[in-house]
Amino acid sequence: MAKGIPQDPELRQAIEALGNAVLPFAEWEPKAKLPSSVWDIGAYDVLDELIGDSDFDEALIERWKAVALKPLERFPEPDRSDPPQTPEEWRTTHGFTQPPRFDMDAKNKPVGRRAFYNLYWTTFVAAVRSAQKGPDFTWFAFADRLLKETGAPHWPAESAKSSPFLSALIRDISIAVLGMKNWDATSKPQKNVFLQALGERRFVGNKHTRDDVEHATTTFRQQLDTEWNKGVQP
Amino acid sequence: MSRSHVVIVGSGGGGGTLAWLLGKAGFRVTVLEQGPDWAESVERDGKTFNPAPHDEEFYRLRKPDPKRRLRGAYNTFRQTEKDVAGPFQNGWTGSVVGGGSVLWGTWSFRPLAVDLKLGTLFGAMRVGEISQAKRLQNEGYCVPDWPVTYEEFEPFFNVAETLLGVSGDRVAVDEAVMSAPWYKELQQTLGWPANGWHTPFAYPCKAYPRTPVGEMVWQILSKGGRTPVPLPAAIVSPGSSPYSTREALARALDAWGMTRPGLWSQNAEDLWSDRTREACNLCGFCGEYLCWGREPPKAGIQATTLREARLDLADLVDVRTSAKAFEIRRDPKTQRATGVRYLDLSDPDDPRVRRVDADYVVVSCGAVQSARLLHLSNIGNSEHQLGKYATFHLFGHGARFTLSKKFSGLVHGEYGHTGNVTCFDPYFLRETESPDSPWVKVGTLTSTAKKNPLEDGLKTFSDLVKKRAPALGPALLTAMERHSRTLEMRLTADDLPMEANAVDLDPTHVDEHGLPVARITRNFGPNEARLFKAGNRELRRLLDPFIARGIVESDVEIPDTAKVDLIGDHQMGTCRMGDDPKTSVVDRWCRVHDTQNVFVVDSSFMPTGLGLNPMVTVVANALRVGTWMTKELK
Repeated sequence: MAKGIPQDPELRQAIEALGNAVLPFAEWEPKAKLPSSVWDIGAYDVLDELIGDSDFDEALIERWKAVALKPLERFPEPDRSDPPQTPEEWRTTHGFTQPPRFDMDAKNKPVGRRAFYNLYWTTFVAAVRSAQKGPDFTWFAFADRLLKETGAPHWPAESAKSSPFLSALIRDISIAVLGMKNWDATSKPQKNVFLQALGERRFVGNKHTRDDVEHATTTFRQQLDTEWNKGVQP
Repeated sequence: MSRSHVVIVGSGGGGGTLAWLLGKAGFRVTVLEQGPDWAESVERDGKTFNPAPHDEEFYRLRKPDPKRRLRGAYNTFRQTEKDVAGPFQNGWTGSVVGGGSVLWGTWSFRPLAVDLKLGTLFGAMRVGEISQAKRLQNEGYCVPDWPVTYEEFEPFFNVAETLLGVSGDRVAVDEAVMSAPWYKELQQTLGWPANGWHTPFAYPCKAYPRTPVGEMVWQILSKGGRTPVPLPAAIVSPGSSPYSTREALARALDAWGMTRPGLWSQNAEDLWSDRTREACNLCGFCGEYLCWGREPPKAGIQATTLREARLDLADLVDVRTSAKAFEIRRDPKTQRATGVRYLDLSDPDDPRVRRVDADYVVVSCGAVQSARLLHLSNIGNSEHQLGKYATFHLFGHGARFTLSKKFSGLVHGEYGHTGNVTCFDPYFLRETESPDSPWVKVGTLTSTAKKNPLEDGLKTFSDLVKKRAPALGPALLTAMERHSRTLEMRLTADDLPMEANAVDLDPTHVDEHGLPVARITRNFGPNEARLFKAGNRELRRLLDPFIARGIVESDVEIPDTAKVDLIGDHQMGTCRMGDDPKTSVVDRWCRVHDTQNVFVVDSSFMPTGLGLNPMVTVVANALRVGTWMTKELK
């Protein structure tokens, strides 16, 4: 699968540090057998592949852009048993008087992951460099400022806004670390540790028996009975 | 160009089922499916459990083309006729071989007899000086009886449940219905049969085991004086022997008696192969996911009727994928359809126009897209009824709640399919707390495991950002942890049909091929407002004792309304069935009134929305219509 993040050690270091600040395994109670870093469970490879998996979207978006410019360009030709008719004539005879438009997702301006991040990587690395020169730099505070659009002067005001970038990156790091992508890169033995720490048992490849369910239901019922019998809390 | 007896547009519960039935009767059938065949790659591994579909990012988040956004197709949405509709991603069903049945959550309710007679029912129920029917009419609703009775449907419901392999406990369901407060009162006042609505035909599979999520809701309902039952589900119950459709079908035919119509007079051995479906292994990837393996436990049409058709009737049934229909050809002299034109999208950058000529055309591509195709073809709208009375059910209505930390690790939302336990008590609820207030039709209340840790983890983050709460670091981790203790009781409720809720063609927006997209107009009316109040009061009443004991955390989410634009795979109406061409689009055999060799067999035909997952009804109706077709069209 294609790789999506540029091979730049400085960028990788920044992404990893940011990820550790956003999802600080080492600081979380209960620590529940979590590794000290989100990246210790193969998440960077998944993130890289996720961003690289953009060919389909980018081809689709290119087609949409072309269609938006000429919405009737791909209109099906008339049946050969019918009189010749242009798409514009078809619209007129069917009562469509307004000009056609194709903008299936104009509000969100669809963009593939790889193209989206490519707009930001350089700005991000430069902003990190600039911010790290400050005496009180922490990754958590830096991430918080990007999320709240208060990254200036490190994040230049003339650049694209920082919060969409950070939100997307947090979202994609979460996808990578939560292990619900059925790719080989997620098959490392530790891929489910974060899910387990969150109390989840829904894993790729799961299978269970009727006995498993009956045992779990009985255990749950016992706990429920215990809590119910305690009565109304004061 | 090719010629068939019948060309069917759409391969889901309606179209796929009909393709098998017609093929079995010797018709040459072409099925046009706009999407690909997802099951093919999974089936290559034979019977071995294949967890390839276990990919939450792909199935839940990406909502991949072509499932939701088929190659540049979209809908537009507006709430009222005064609004300008805008592009809208919802309103699709599964665009794959098998249609929505591949991705559905398996909830397999058959309607109650009263569901097909709501016009009569509301006519007999009073609101002060007038009937409920009159009040609803004054409010803009049009709630007719179905032209076909439950009794006419019943043998087809039996067969439909057999083909789907529904697991459940029929005795418990019947008792739950007849013990409900609304049933007891309405039976007396309306003179329903004294012996109740017993359904003699048992579900073909034993009930699915109760999960911890189901147990929680079972206790909530029991302690609240309601009657929970196992949710009927089209999935082979865990621990069962492999499911033999043929054996179950033999029982359904026995129940039908000796005067079975058409090909149903044959033995089960002549109707169905000896293929089986394996028991569920509780992997937990069901709703929105393709089920694993060659003989999957979850019923999808691609694994049942369409599989039989493709393997045993290949010389008669031709299923074409990436085939997007855009026009039904009609001869203006004869007023009959002559075939279907479609785009072969095998190479989306080089679509090719193709045509299938046929004696009969069947439309079955979901209530939104079926209405669109008929509008595009100028068929079915002679009396300006096409697309009207669309209903979509009331999604997003219910309670979402989190158990206390004492239940950490005990909820096991990963077991089995999405639902587990349901109840019929809220089928009708009092409008107010007064015991004399009128009944409002609501729906079923069903346990729902929050199954998607990834989807909900990401939602946790975006919710924190929206609330301007701390969204990073330990705050984010702590918020994400709640997901494993969070579950839902979902009230799947019935929105009643209004003329203004409709599907037509958008005046400006076109799809990638320049064809007008479907425009959906949908709003709630006063009846839905009454329903929301009644439903929320019931949910609060049920949950309060558990909040008071600290079992359920206090921040229960019960939205004031459903989401008006949450239009999903339940799409009903738009091609209403009725005997009068002036007030309906298709007749009792689902023939389009103004073009008698065109049929509509998806959920478009439904005059009212039922408030239940429509799959069993759609399959049963396709069997009913197909039986008539095999008799009448030869």
